[in-house]
Parts: sequence; C-alpha cells; structure tokens
Amino acid sequence: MRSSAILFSLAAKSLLNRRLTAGLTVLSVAVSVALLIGVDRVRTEARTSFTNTISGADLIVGARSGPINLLLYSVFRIGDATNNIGWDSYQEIRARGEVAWTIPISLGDSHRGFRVMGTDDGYFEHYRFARGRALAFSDGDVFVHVNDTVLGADVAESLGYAVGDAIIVSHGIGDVSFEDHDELPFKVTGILARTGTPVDRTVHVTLAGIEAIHSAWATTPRARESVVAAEAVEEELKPDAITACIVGLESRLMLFGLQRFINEYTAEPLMAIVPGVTLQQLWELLGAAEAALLVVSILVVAAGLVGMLTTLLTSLAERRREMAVLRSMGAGARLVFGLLLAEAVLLAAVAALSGVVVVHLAMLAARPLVLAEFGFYLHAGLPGGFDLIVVAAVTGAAGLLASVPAWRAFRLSLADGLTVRT
Amino acid sequence: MATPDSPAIRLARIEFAYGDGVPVVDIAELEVARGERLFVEGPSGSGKSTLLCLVAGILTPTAGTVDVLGEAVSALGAAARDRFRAEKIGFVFQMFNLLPYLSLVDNVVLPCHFSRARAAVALQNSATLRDEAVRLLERLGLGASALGGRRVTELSIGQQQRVAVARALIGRPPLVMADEPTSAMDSTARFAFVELLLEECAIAGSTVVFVSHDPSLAASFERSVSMTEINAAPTEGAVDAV
Repeated sequence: MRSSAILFSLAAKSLLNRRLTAGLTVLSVAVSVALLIGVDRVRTEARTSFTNTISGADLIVGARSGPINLLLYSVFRIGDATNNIGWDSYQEIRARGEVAWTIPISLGDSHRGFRVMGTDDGYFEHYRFARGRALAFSDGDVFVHVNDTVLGADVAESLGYAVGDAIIVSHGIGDVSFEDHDELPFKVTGILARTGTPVDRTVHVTLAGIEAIHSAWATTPRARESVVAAEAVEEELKPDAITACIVGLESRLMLFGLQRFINEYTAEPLMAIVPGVTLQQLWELLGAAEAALLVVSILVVAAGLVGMLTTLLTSLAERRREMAVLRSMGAGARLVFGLLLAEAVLLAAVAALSGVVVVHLAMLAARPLVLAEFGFYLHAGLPGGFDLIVVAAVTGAAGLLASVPAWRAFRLSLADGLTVRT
Repeated sequence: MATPDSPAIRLARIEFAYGDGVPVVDIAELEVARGERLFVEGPSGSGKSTLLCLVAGILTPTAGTVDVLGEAVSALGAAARDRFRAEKIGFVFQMFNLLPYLSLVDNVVLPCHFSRARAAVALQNSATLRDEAVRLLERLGLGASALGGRRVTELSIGQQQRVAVARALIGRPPLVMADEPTSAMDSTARFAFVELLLEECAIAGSTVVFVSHDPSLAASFERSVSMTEINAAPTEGAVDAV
C-alpha cells in the first residue's frame, strides 16, 4: 500500500473541497504566524538599526542625568536634554591628552518637524555609523558660513530641498513652532547620502548658526552680508553651552580614566557613557516588553491553532460516512487517523508559509513608512532561520493538536464500521 | 487454507454482540457458493448490516468462524482483515457512496490505491487505472459525454449508485456486497439497477450478496434467504441503522 501518498492526496483534495472553512483556518493561522514573525523581525531590525547608528565613538558626554536618556537624546534624537555642558567644560575635555577628536552636539531647534543640530566640521570627519562607515555627501559640501546648513537625506527628500535653497529654522521642536526666526534664513550647502540612521532626519548647522538663531545677531549689520564665515564671527557668536559631545580617544585603554575624570568633574555635573554599554542597558530595559510582545504573539498562534482544531472536530460528524466508505475499501482505522493528521499538517504548513510570505511583503510595503516615522530601515530580506523554526514549530504543533480529532475519528470509525450509527 | 473450490462465504455457528452483550447476530450456518447471487432479505434491525460487517472483517464474531473465499477472516488480525477486504470485496452502500471531494474517475479508481491485486487486474483491461474507470463508467451509461465532468454531488441518486457499482467492480473483486443500494430509488429504477448490477458482476465473475428490506427484488436472484429465519438473535435487541 502506498498509503502515505494516497493519504496526502486525499487530505489535499478534501481540504480543497472545503476551501471556505479551510481557507479561513489558513487565514487565521497565517495572520498569527505573520504577527509572530513580524514582531521578532521588527525587534531585531530595531536593534540592528540602533546598533548601526553610532560606531567608533568611545564616550558620549552630557549633563548628569540617566545614561540611557543621554544616549537617546544625543544620538537617536529621542527625548530632550535636561541640562547642558558649559562651553568651558567642553573646551577643557577637548584639550585633554587622551582625546583624539570631539563632535559637539547642540540641540533644541527644529525645521518643519525635523530636528536641527548645531555641530562643527569634526562631525563630518569623525562621525561613524554601521560598523565604521563615514558620512558622505550626495550633493554639495560641508557648511562654512554661519547661515549654511547641511541636510540629512530624508529632510531633503521629504521637503524637496536642493543645494542652494533657503530654509528657516524655528526655535523649539515640533511641526508647528510658536516663534519663527524669520530674520535669518539658512542656505543649503550640502545634502548627505542616506545612512539609515537619525542623521537622515537631521538639519545640521554650525554652532555659531545655533547662537545666531537665538541672539539678536541676525539683526546686526554683519548678518546682512551674504557671506560670513563661521570662524570670522567665532568670538561674536561663541556658544555658552552645548547639549552633548561625542568623544574619540587616542587609545581605548584611556577610556575608563577619562570617564572617571568626567563623572567626577567638579565645575559642573557631567556624565560620560560608553555607547555600547548603555545600549546594552537599553536592551535589558526593553527586554521585558519585547518578551511580553513575543509571548502574546505566541499565544495568538496558539489561538489560531486551537481554531483549526475546532474546525477539524466539528467537521468530523459530517465526515463519518466518508470514513466508513474508506473503511469499506480496505482503509484501516489508522489511515483514518492519518488522514485527519495529514489535513492538519497540510493546513498548518500552508498557513505558516503564507504567513512568512505575507510578513515579508508587508515589511517591504511598510519600509518607507517605518523609515519616515521611526528612522530605521526594515531589511525585508530572504526568510531566515527564525522563519523556518516558526514554520516547523507551527506545523509540528498542529500535528500534535490534530491527534485529538484524529484519535476521535479513529475511535468513531472503529465503532461505526460500515454503517454510521447516530 | 485458501482453496479455489472453497465456498465464497461460509459462516459456522457465529454469534455477535456489541458492547452491551445482547446478541445481534446468531447464525447456525450460511454458505454461499462462488459465483452465486444471494439475496438477503430482512426488515431493518434484523442484523443485515452487522452480517455484512462480519463477512467484510470490519467486525469479528464473538463466537464461531467466518470463512470468506477459503480464508478464515475471523481469525485474522485487524490489519490483515483490512488488506483482505481491500483485495477481495467490492461494496455498494445505500447512499453517500462517493467521496464528494474526488472526481467521478478518482472515486472509481480509489480501491486500486488500497489493493495492488485489484490495480493489477484493472490494468489487464486498460492502459491506465483512469482508462479502466472511464471504461467501467461508460459501460454503466455514465460516459464523459453524458456527464461532462460534473461533480459527484451534482449527480442524481441513480447515477451516484452506478458510479458506486463501477467502483465496487474495478479490479474484479471476487465478492461484491450491496447494502440496500436501491432504497432511495423508485421501483422502475430499482429493478433496472439490480439487473445492471447483476449483469456486471456476472461479467466480472463476482459472487454477489445483496441485502435489502424489499422482498420484491428477490426474484432477480438465484437464491434468497430471510434474516429473520436464519438469525436466531432477537430482532428487538438489534440497533441497526435505519
């Protein structure tokens, strides 16, 4: 007897015949599998994206608050700083022997929903992301003048800016600002190539530019000159403070020494964090929420499978006659058992595979939205190991669960024989 | 021992009771010769269906022996009985004979998936099992032109029963058993169906056991027995399906 071949062929044809209920069952299991894989996928993508945002930085220095808070506002542009670093303190850190380079970060302003960041040339030179990649310009070049600006790829794309355009920066953060600094338009000098990090969503200006926004400088005669080099007005527009700074060291061996120096800095309360360590703390914090989400998704899959079990069980009553006919042709009660098992396994396998396909298509479709809203890039690559594990687990669980209706069908067909007793 | 001249069916002092212990079938002796066409008549609840199950090896008697085509079916294990049934017996039921999710041809071919012997015999007549199914269906007046690939569920009862006959006969099983196959037909169709069944079984050389509550059909058969006469078990104890 080629019973396994006939088994799956009968199971498949029987399912096709009941395509509405079978289809709905497949749909519910597929959706639950898509949810599970989607949750896991977004979780890993978010992690990769966060990890890729900053690379090669040894320390991040800011006002003393929480390390995670400092990391979030300085690098990921999430939340706000509670306090600043005094300009003199920044100069002192910068001048220390261990320090190879620094990138100042001055936040607090926005342009049409995008954050404005004051910095200097060091940013374009030393900032690294995605395992050591440097920033590159897709058009134009570094800012030189007080009212020059360099845009992230998303800013330029969504607002339709090109090099040479003039933009106006407002004070405060948000789409609608209460006061516009109309007086000082900024000129776009460069647009950065896409990085898949918050850099894409940032408007970069000079530190002097930030000062100019907030001072009355814009009304002075010098501001009326079309070209004012940032260095030329360094003294005039010297910032009092910056929000944070990224520090690169001569040698990583000096890391803890400098970190201690900053953490124990007496002139003002400062804090230095190691980005990788703090990122790890962030994962630990989010771990519980992620686990909860994962557990919920697994429960949804379980609910889908129980739904399938219900469908199979209710179908048994109307299929007793069918089982009797099969028995009359010499099918053993074991084949009846196997038939129901095969149906469940086929349903679950089809459902799980469609779930995988659906989630990857959905991620492909959601990619621009996620990039725009959350600033990270969904890699809807080929199905990976986790997908395979889920498909195997769902199919296996379906087989296990289906042994209940299969066993019932087995008992019924033994009792029924050739005539269905009611 | 299977010998060619052993009778098609021999029941000797068989008793059968379901779990409650009340005997449903109690037959001292019944013998059916090879090639014979036997009509078994009896009202519902007289143990007819149970008798068929005993012969088919679906049930085993609580006492006595069932020999079919020289094989002591009642002494075989469950798997061997399933195999024996697949090889040797074709069935036609009252109704709902066909699997709704298979095509006409697939329904007819199905027994060949359970029995190599029947598949081998079917392939002596036609190049493929499907060809043989089509040939049988055409003989029974269910040509492709008449049916045009209709679904099983779209056929009339009479047509469905003819498909069931084709399925029972594919691969020429030595024994064909029919359980009230005409109960859903009107009387003209009923006689025509019985004639067709007997004719096809004669061509296939199959022994026929035909069970019905309708004594008027007995005339078409060589021999007729009454369940109420041969079955000593009290009828009221039976729980036969209606």
